[in-house]
Amino acid sequence: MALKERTHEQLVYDVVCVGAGGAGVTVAVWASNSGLSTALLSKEPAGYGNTRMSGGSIVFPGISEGDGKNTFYHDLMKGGEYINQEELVRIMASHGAEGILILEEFGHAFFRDDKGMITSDLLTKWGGHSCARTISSPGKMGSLIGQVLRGALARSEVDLFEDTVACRLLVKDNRIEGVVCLDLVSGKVFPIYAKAVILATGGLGWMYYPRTSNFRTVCGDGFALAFDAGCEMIDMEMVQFLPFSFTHPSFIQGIGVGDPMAAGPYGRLINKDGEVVLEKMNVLTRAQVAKVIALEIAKGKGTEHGGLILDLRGNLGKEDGMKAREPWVSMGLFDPVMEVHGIEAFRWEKPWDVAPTAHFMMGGVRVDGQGRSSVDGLFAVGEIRGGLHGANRLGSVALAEIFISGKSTADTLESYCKKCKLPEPEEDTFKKERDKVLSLFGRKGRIRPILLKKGIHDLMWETTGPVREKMKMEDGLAKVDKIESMLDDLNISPFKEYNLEVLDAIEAEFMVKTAKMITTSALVRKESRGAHTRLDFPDRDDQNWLGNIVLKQEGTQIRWHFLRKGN
Amino acid sequence: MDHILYIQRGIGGEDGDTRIQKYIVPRGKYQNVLEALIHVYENEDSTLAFRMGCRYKTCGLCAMDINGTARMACLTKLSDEVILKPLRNLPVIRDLLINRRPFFQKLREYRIFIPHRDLCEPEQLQVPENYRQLAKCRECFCCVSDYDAYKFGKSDFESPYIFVKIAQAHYDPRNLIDRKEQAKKLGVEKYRQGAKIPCPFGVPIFETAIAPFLGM
Repeated sequence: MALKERTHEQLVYDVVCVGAGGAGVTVAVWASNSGLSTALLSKEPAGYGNTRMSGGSIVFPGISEGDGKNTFYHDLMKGGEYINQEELVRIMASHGAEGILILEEFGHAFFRDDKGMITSDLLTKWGGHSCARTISSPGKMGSLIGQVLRGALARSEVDLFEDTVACRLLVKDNRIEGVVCLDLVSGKVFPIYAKAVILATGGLGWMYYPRTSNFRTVCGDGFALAFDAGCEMIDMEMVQFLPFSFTHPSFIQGIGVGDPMAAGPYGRLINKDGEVVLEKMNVLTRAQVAKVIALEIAKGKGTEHGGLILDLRGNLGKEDGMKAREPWVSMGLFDPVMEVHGIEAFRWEKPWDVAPTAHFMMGGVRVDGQGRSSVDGLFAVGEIRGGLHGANRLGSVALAEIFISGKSTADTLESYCKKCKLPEPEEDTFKKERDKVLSLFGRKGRIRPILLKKGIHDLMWETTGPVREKMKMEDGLAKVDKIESMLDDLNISPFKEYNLEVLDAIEAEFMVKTAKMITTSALVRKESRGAHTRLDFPDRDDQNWLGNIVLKQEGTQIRWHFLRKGN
Repeated sequence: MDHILYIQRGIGGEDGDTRIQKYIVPRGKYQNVLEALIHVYENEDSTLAFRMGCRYKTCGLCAMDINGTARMACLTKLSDEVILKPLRNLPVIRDLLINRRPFFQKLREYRIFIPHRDLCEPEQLQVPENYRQLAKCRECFCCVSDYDAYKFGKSDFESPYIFVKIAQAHYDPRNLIDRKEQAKKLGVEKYRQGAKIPCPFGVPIFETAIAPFLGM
């Protein structure tokens, strides 16, 4: 079926998916292949987002000796500090090995040995994993994965809407009806009605720009869309900070260098006074290492560049040390070190500064094993889901999550769509939302929306960075409220073709909502666990806090309740 | 002396209407062209349209014509004076933004994908060296911009980028389509003169995506 000329008048599908990274493409392609009419929206061209920047390493559990379902399950729960959603963990532990199959069926190629096979010798052991279970791709393969995703889409019958922003979800009586879309190229606002809407918008790292490893478009849209639609959100305080990122120069600040495993068995972190702060990091989790760095910097012991020194020289000349270096070199993750800090640094002969960077969002839409949210017909796949990783994610599991969750939701959609009727388009509701978006064009206020986004970027690190405390968070909430009020005073140019100021305004509003969710949740959790570190509550408190914070919108308020484990 | 950016604004093409707008960017703060653009956008003029994604060397979205050559803004050192225009030979939406939508259609039309398989375990797979070389492609379209014999929508043969995609499929051991035949139909013969096809990511385009289809 060739792509029809779309008139934007009456677009009705079985399924519409928002976000075309790994998870979005997977769910869309699999849903379409099962016979469902499927639309896929993407702010940029399809196959970009964080998937396009990934290192291309994915878990392949069950191959190494001693690696069974239970081992993987326990590693995930331990890494997540026991507040993970067990159903999601069980599914990942049972089906984890399928991630590589889904992506290779699309057209990707992971490492092989000389005989063309994947054997346990090719697997590496990442931080927090109790055995070697990660397979990598030759080269930093995010770009190739992105192109493979585009190929899978081209092979399917999915109707693709690129350069298209989801502005709002249409919901009636807690049931999804569709999406209000903005076509950036033409400036037109149009509805897509559907039986099922899938959120696949990824994480929110860009909210912490420049201290982020993320892609520009990943600024938390989906969290706000879901929340406004009435979804329960879970673990919104759990933002993962990758411990090693560049501190300088400015153009590369925040870009990730690697997982703690990259430090090898003999790497050390050193503060400005030359004291060794941490060693033997290669078996620690990202949360454990990021916390140490952030606390040291908070004490005033950081370098002039705002980080700690990562000294990897101890690995040189040692077999296990050099073995740890190998995958990171072949993945290309150290290439920027050469360009930014020179060849000696690249060879680990000279240390360089590192600091934590906002990398991944463990929290998100509360879903069951098939990705169902608390809103009927609204599903979530990939990073936007909350709960698989609990308080901290293990490396190379994110790539598995996007494919496995995408397929598992697609498997459910066929029977779901068979059972329900197409929604009756409610013109008036759509028109109201459309007019709100159209009113952004040519607004004659005083503030350019990019400045509001910058305001949020500036406060996120201080408010909900790797180290948190009550006063800064409350202050942060007040600042976010102030920024929110300025959304009524925007100055936006009027023209229709690719108006980035309109996009900034839409994203700024999403970021405000998501910032409030993160901060509210972080204030509630009065302990430190996983990626959530509080200076005022530095210890883990299982007695009071072994459980999850769930948020839900009530009018203009964020209501929270605590879901204790074992209930 | 501060840096001067001369940026093409407006919609180009035959019916187009473009002008050059001048912006000043403070000296000593920024290293590359992308940083300078972000500075202009945030501080001077957010009507300026351009794309960016990963900030460094990975996604290919910030490709543009910089002082006459197609390059990545994130990888180009900021010189005293910079002239920025959108990539050449491609449809322009406005300012520095090219329209990438038609390229998805081409993937479908030319079936740039491998066939469906039912997988219960990883396939036995060995990819040739040419596949690895072609895998460096970021889809930035610099190769199209600097290959002035080609014009989108006008030429009766395809662009260098499309031949890279066809070659990627050709060298994939799972491919089932006769890509040599396809390349011939799409006008690979037009490249026989052997003009160098540049690639900022080091893909040897002529050697891996053109010459093999010409029987060279």
